Amino acid sequence: MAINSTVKHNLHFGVGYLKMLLQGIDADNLAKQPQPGMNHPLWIVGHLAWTNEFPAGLLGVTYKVPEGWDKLFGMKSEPTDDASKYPDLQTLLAELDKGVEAIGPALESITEEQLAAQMPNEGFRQMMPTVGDGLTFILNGHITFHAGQLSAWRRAIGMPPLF
Amino acid sequence: MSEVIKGLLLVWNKNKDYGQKLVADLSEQQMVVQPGPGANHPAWVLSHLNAYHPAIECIIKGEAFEDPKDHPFGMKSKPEPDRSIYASKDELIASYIKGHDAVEVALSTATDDVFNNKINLERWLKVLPTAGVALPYLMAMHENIHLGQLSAWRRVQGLPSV
Repeated sequence: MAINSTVKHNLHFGVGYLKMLLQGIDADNLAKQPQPGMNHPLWIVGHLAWTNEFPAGLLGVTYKVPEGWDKLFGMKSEPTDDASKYPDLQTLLAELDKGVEAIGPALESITEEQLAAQMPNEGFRQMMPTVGDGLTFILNGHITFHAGQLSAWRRAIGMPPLF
Repeated sequence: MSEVIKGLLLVWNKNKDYGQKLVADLSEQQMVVQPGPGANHPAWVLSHLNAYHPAIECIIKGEAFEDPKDHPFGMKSKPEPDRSIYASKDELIASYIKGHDAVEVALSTATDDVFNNKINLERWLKVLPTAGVALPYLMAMHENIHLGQLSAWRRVQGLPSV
């Protein structure tokens, strides 16, 4: 089975679902934290855009988010409720789409041998031993995990469910 | 084992561990706490995910299965604050582990041909026509959406990240 019919299909589903969850959120609430430290919409979208550097690297694609986004959205970043610290939602979504578009063609042409290759990043190797493991986790599980956080965030600020 | 199956099982097994960690420190009563009206609580999330495990196993085996939508904790169900509706935390976790293990065993012994299995549920044929579409969705996407909800639910309760 080709990777493009699994991971890529679900990557687009995940991004589409994320965008549905963003609909109807008041602009003033995009950095709202119902509890301190809680991931808010601006952080979630920026984090997912930032994360695309990882699968891009695994696929040999040159893709980088704007400078400074590592500090704002990287693994060690802490969301803050000061919206002025973040790019606007449109900018964040455009960057997310840009990363997904950059990754897509490489996903379509990746081979079984490339998927079986050892995870090049030593820090992630124990968690995700191969390139295929990393792509499946990051492009499918990770994106929907944060979409789920956004779903619960919506309810926490009093928004109705999508379905 | 193919790389696609290995990748799916990696996510699946991570979810099994993570799902348990997300509820490990919760009391029975916390399992049904809703931060807002109708919000998904841990007891519903685990009950809901457990309802899908038999379907996933059947898809791998190419068998027909009952529509999870009609399950008492399927997508038509609403999370309720009444604790007695749901199994105990230990029972929910045990079912979660058992369901994950059954799916892992079934998929571990499959080849990539499994992804050509047609879905034996009329309602899903338009959106999840084959196992190649359905398994990654159910194992990696659907489950993570709900685990992400639990993660955020914990933070709303003031509980630490796991």
